[in-house]
This record gives sequence, structure tokens and C-alpha cells, in this order.
Amino acid sequence: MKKIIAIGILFGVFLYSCVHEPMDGESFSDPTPYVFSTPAGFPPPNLPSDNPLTVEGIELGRRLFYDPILSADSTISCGNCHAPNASFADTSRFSKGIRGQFGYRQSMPLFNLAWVNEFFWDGRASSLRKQIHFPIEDPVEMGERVGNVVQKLNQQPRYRKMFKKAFQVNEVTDTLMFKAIEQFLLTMVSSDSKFDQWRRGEVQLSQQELYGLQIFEKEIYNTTVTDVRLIPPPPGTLVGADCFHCHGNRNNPFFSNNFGYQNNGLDAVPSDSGRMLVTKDPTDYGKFKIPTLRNWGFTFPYMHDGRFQTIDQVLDHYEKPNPLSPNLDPGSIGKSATYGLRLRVYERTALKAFLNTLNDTAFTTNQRYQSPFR
Amino acid sequence: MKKLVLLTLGVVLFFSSCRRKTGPDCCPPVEPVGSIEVHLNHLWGTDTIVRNSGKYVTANGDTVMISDIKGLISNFNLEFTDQTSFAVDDYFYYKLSNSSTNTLVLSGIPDGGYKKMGFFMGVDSTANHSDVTIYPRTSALSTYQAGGEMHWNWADGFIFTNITGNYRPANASRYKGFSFHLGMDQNLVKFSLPVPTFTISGDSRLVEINMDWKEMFESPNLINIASQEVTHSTSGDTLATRLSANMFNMVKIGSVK
Repeated sequence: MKKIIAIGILFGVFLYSCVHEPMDGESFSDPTPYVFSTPAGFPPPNLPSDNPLTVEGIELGRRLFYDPILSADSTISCGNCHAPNASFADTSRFSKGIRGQFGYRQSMPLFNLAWVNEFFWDGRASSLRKQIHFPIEDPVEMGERVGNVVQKLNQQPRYRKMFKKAFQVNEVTDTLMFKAIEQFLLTMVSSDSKFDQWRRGEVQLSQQELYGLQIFEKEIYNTTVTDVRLIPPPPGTLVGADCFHCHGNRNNPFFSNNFGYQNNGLDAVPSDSGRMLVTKDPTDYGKFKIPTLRNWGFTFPYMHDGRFQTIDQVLDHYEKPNPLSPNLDPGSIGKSATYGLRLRVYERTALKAFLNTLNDTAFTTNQRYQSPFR
Repeated sequence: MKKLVLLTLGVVLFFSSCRRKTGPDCCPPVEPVGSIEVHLNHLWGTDTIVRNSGKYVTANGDTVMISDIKGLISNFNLEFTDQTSFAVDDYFYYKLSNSSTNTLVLSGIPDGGYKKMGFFMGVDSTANHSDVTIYPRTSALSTYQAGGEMHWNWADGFIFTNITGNYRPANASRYKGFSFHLGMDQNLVKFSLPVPTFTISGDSRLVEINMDWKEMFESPNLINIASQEVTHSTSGDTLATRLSANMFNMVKIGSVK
């Protein structure tokens, strides 16, 4: 009997040690783990091992994302430049930051970040958590010091309570603030476009959309010697738009080469050095991250500087011979440098019909990603 | 006193339950194994290739500047001096632009004397047509590595070898681009090369492989880039076949240390 009592006591001590001490006079249970669901056809996500997703952490991150407290004068939140209806990009060419200042690059959309390795148009942030730091301290965006934000959060009982529930701490720190926002951003998954539904066998693509997919995945016709609008290719020849070399094929749910930076021939002399600002490698001059085409219908204007308002303007760009700018993508410098794509009207229409299947309205209207301040 | 003894016993029991089991019932004995570091030297003749700025002249008279070379190597097979062999079940993704990827580590190599090394430049048919999303992040075939750049950006399976750059024909003043994407099962290039005999005894050896890319442009098939600047190895594309055939002459075993 005594043995049983002793073992029971020991077990009780063990269990007691697992319970968190009450903090600030109030105790909370452990945060609820959030089960990240990898959509069909997506590869394993790149989730940080030191920041397990929790319901409370994500909710805290969502609030921080939409709270202008992150900016120096409490006027700009992350959501100002990453709006849900724009697939978390900005429909303005350049986003308006603190004190009415404007940046010089288009705001990038935010989704499927759990599969991204480098962030920003020039890839200067090697992790999502590091990325969050940049806009807060950018004098044109939020113009605030991270230390000041932490101080402001610590002064708000609501935030202290939320941090306590999410991370079991009494004090807000910069690391935990970044982790919370990181958690929210990681959960923003777009995987329910018509294309996704087709991949899952739930719907059919129309003949025109399928034709557009074929054009997307096919290299351009031999335009070095032939302008297909003057001398048509032989009957039955599929003329491609050669989108897939940079934007992937039907097996790539991201419709971007996440690893790639390219110069797509926008300018003979790029005014923005792009990737070279990070690598200092002159061969990266004028190269930018290849953006996803998913949700393109919401993410206008296009290109790193938002110079194109419509998808037709983008296609017009690829229809023209590329200027021989330094480091132009070799795939572009070849045949397309001579004539451009030269898609015929019905081919462009089909391509656009396919591209439309990449827009995911379920994502942009998902209540889980909307502002809690509404 | 009894309580103290019981408590002590309890603590000991608790911690002992946390220890990993060892002994013959649990873990097989670990065989002493070595490793081989394979270093890829990307050359033009005897010169080390310098990306983008190095200008190299082919036998056809084209001046070539190489932007990057990317490729998959797999199915390493090591032949012992007694004719038996050992297969390395791993895939490797190298890029000229990323020096760290040009040293491939073959681990778990059994002790013995070796005289031959075989490998594929590309991947076997099974891997070539697999779903790339199944590979873990650490795999060379995963979408975070070759799967992203060499599979998703192509139509059929993996690109085995991807060489891109600019060139200027002998009679031209302006550079244009070229882009050779070699893939498809029929263009898999398989090597089995004699190596200076070496032994592994739980240690590591360095084997250098010299890849002379000049050969790809001229031997045995002389390539006139201007006649076809791009290949995606599509059916009936003879350039891909000719380039792949040239690759058989471009790989030589260098030193073994």
C-alpha cells in the first residue's frame, strides 16, 4: 500500500511540474496546436521548427497584421499595403506609407508563403520572420523602431493577454511579435481556384481553357525565321507562349519558379538594380523574383514597378522584341528577341481563359484572413 | 526511511524508462563505413569556366558566354576490385552558379578497393516520371531544389542538364541567347568510368570529375548554335540527341585523393 502511495505522490509531482505557473494573477492552458493542412498537389511546406502554429498565435498574428500600432504614427498597418481583396497585394502602383510617402516597388501578394524561400522582389529576406522586420523600420513604410512597437504592445493589457495565451509569457518581445505574425502569414493558403478544383477532379476545364493551358506550357514557335501572323505555321502546329519556363507547369501549384530571379526585358537600362542590391553580383543587375501567376486577377498592377495595369499590357510586353538589356534571360534573348511571342488573337484569348482559372476567390474572401477590426 | 527508499526507486524507475534501449535486441551493429566526395570541375578545355564573362570559342567559330549550367546526377555505382559493386541510392543537383553544390558526398561507402565509378547524368525513368511533391525538402529532387527548377519549369519529367548563355557567331557583332534543356528518358547519359584504384577503410576519398563543356558543342557532333538556339528535347528534336551524344565525351575522371 505504501508503495502505491509513494508512486502516486511521485506521479502527482511529475504532473504538477507540467502545469504552467499562473502569470500576472491569471493562468492559461497551453495554446491549442493548429494543424496545417497541405493541399492536394502541394509539396511539404517549409514550416519553422521553432515556431509551432497555434490557434492563439495565429489570432494574435492576425490582429498585429491589421493593427497600425506597428507604425510610428499609428496610421499604417500591414493590411494597408496587403489588402485581402487584392490577394494581399496593393492595387495602387506604389503603396502609400507613413506621412503620405510612396515606395518604389509594387507590393507583393501574400499567400502560400509556407513554400517560399526568399522574400521581396529582390529576395533580401531569407525567411518570413526576417521579412516582417523590414516594413516596420522602413522610413517610407511604417517608419517605426521595432523596440518602440514592443514597448507600445507591452502597454496594452489586451496584447499582453494575447501574448500570454499564445506564448505563455508575461512580456511581449520582438521575437514573439515576429513569430505571431509569421504564424498568421503561414496559414494564408490559396488552393481553391478553378485550376485547383480541376486538378482534384472536381470540375472540368473548358476546351478553350485547356487550349490555353497547352499554349502556356508550350515553347514559342520558331519565330526567328517566321512571323506567324504573316506566314502561319503548318496546320495543327501548337504555338506556345513559353510561360512555363518561369511560371511552371500544371504540376506546379505556385505558378512561379520560387527560386528564380530573371530579367524579362522590361528596360534596356534598368533603373532598379533588383537582385544585385542583395547579391552585389553584377550579373544580377535588373533581375527580379519571378512572381506567382496565381490570383493575378486581383494583384494588378503588374511587374516589380507596377507599370502594367492589365494582363493585356503584360502580354503586349512579351509580344514585343526584348531590348538587349544586361543579363536578359537567355530564354528571352533568343527567339523572342527577334519577333516576340506573336500569338494570334484566338490564342491570346485562350491563354487568358486559362489564366483566369488561377484566380481563387475563396481565398480572397476567406474570413479567417480578414481584419479583426472590422 | 522506507518512503525515501521508495521515492528514490521511483525516480530511478522514471528516468530509466526514458533511456533509449540498447543491445542486440534493439539496434543492429553499426558497420564501419566511409564516404567519397565527388568534386565536379566545370571546364572549357582545360580552363575553369567563368560564368557570364568568360568567352569561349567553339570549333564552329561561335563565341560562347555561359550564364549557368544545372544538372542532375544519380545512380552512382562503385565497382570493387573483385568485380562486385555497391550502388549509392541518392540524387544530386549541381549548379555552376552555386559552388557548394559541385561537391557531392556519397556516404555509407563500404570498406574495400574500388576500380570503377558509374553514374547517370539525369535520373532513371521511374524518378523522371514521379510526383515531385512527394520528395522531402532535403531531397535533390524536391520542389525546393531540382523539382522546382528542373521539373516544374518543364513539360515532361526532369531536365537532366540545363545550359544557358549567350553566343556570337563568327560573322556577327551581336550576342544572342541560347538555351539547351536536355531531358527525356532517351537522352539519359550513363557513364561507367575506370578510376585509379583506391581503397576505403572507414575513411573518405576525394574523386575529381572533369566536365569539359567544350565537348558538348563539338564532339562528335559539331554544333552550329545559330541554326537552333533552343532545345527542349521534344520528340524529333535532333539537337537534343546530338548534344546528349556529345556529353559522352565530356566527362573524365580526374585525380583521386
